[in-house]
Amino acid sequence: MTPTVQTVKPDHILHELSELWVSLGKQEPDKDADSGVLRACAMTLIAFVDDDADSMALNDTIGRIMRSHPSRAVIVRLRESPGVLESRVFAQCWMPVGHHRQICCEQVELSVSLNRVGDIPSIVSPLTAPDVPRVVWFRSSGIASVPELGGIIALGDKMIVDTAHAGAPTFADLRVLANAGYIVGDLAWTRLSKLRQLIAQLLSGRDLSGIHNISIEFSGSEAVPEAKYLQAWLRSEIQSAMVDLRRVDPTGKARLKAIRVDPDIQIQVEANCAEYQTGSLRQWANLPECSEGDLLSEELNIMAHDRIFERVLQRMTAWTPQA
Amino acid sequence: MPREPSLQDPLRFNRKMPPCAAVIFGANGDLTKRKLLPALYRLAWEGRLAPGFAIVGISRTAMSDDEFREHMRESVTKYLEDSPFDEDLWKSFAQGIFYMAGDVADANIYQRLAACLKQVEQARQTAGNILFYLSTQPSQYAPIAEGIGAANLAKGDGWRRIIIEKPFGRDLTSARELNRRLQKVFQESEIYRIDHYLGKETVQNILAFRFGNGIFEPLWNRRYIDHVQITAAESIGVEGRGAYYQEAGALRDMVQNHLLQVMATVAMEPSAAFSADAVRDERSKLLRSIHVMKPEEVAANTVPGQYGPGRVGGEDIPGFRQEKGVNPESQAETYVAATFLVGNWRWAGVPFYIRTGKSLPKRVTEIAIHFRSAPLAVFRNELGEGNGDPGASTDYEAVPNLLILRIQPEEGISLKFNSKRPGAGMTLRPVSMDFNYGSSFGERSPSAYETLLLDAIAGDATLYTRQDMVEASWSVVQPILDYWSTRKFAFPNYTPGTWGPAEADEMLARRGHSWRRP
Repeated sequence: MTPTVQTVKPDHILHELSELWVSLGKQEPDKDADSGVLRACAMTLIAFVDDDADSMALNDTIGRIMRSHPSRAVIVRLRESPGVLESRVFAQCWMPVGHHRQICCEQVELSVSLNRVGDIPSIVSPLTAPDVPRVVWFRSSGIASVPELGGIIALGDKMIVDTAHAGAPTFADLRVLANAGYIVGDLAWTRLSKLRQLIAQLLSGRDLSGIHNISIEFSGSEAVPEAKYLQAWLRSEIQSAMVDLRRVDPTGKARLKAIRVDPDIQIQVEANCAEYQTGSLRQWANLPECSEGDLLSEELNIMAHDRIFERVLQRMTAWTPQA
Repeated sequence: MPREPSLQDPLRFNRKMPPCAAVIFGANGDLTKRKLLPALYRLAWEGRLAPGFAIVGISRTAMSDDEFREHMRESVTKYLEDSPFDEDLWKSFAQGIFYMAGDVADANIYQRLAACLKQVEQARQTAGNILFYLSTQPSQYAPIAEGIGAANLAKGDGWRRIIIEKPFGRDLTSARELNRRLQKVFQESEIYRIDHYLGKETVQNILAFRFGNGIFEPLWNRRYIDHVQITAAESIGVEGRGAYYQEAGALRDMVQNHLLQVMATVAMEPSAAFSADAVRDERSKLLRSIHVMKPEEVAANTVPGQYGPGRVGGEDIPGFRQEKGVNPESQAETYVAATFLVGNWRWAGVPFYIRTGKSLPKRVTEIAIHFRSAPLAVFRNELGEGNGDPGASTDYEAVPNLLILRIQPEEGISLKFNSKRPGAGMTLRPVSMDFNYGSSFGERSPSAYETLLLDAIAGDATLYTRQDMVEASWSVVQPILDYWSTRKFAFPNYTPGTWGPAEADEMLARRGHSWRRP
């Protein structure tokens, strides 16, 4: 007997979505004009995640994003076992504090075997919400190596990865995509925004061309992508400066430790904060560790080419640590 | 061409802020404790202030720097909203807080302030930039500005800006006099008159809504809009501010500043650019276009009200005259409704109804744009009115479209339009299409004071009121004040928990309109 091949019909999912809204509306009868459910959709977020991904953490991230970027979310769970292709439809709803109307975003979850990833573009494409941006987020370690990657990338107007994660696309992959005109984002770069802003603030008003030496210190056996990005950014924007990466604690946890700008600026990076000194002024700045949802949210704010990031990508080179 | 080296990243970074010292007069007062310090701390928490930002507090109470810091710490922990309090950050922030005790009427204090600011500039690298914030009694604004001028503090290496809080005068004459004295010391471009309503995200969003979308502006005129209602209702009474309210009244406290500014934002012409002067020029032009009532027009177009004692939700509510510090015969209004007309081509004949009051049924601020009805009722509504026969009854009109810009508490925009009711036949039912600010932008909105303080530090006066705007709005309000001052009203004339005096309903009914129930 030939085994039954599982199929998913986009029209069926769209019908389920439509019924979902009808049922949500019935749960909240419109007794007064201000109650009921508010449907919100500002984009389509297509997320590729590993099947064993921590569901609670993923839900936290999606929930966080839905509040800042209400979206139709299409979550594609990639499974090792062959032949699987399933779908389900549900809504994420929340009641904003002090309000009396629920806000709901729709979510489609597809479970797909890696050997059937080729079916994904034809299923997901009709599911994208019309007239709003589409973002593809790679949270899966396996996705970068599938042969159908090109069709998947083409589903979105922007692609977001996190090069700090094992198995993620590399800087070189991102550079190729950026050079081909794709809008790309990397959460490893996004993690640097607050620190970069602090550096920019501290160097504000200075003649940047007069800066000749900057060192970036890190711990761990290899520089984290953030350290490499910081180096590339400073090299790109202050071309007069030698920007060195220095390993100061090879056995410590891999992270950024400090930035020193000659002659008189030092920034010590700690968990959730930075202590900095400019001349005689010693200060403390809040640098809270960003959740995955915060980082993603920042990237979703930028739906155009990020020229600074693209410039930095071009500067990302093979790295050799200083002794 | 080679790029200028720059570390700025406008896509991701907050606006760049220059270093400065903020000098707060009235530093031990309520506004400083409840609003200013929490807003400044929050800005520091977000890393939006330049390193070395400093605060110099001045008030009469004798205190050391450390005692003042401790007072401010208590206030920030108590009044900080939607934000965590971080002890380490506070320690760093508090290093930049200094205090001077003294009487602002004493010339010596300004010399001491000059010496203090010199030290602060060296220690905190504030580049000589100074922001003066007058959080004092309005009667002290001019003397403080003159003290600053006499001590040569209004000029120097960096920039100088002075922020004053409303009221900007008690009437047109005193507003002009205040301005004359301020401008002897500061240039108009250095004077920042704060109207915290304009700092609210949703008031700013009116500009985005009107001028960032192409579809509404063609409808934004007398041809399509029947009338506009602006409501700013408070569910609470004067609650301990009776003495102040008795002097000010709702017309001075709300209409002359906040509500006329909101009206100007709704009705102004598009500005050529989003620059401070371009936007304020248009607001000012609109304010000057508001028809100034003749004495004989005031009675028909304004309604003052004052709440009496009552019971709301099982709780006894004292009347305004029973509030502490209020004269039992007080003629101060706690409610105002007014009809304003704008004398320009866009708005000729379109009434703008404004109402504000204390002890109304709920706290709500909104602008309702009532569009004209469809010219012919070809469909039935739910009451079975209208039959599509052009020759039939003419006393039925299709329910007009309504656009509601909600400022608080649930910020957003709703458009009411008619839709076919499911089933056989063509019966229409009004439905609502809602944009909810909180759902589309889940991020925390900055408080009005955060927005306005940052703008002042950055030198952006777009959301601040200019003197010509102040004078224009006083010109609109002055005839009403003058007329009311000659009358004795039969106060109280409304009960707490109701929508105000019946005369306000009659005022609209005379033009065939009725107040929207928010």
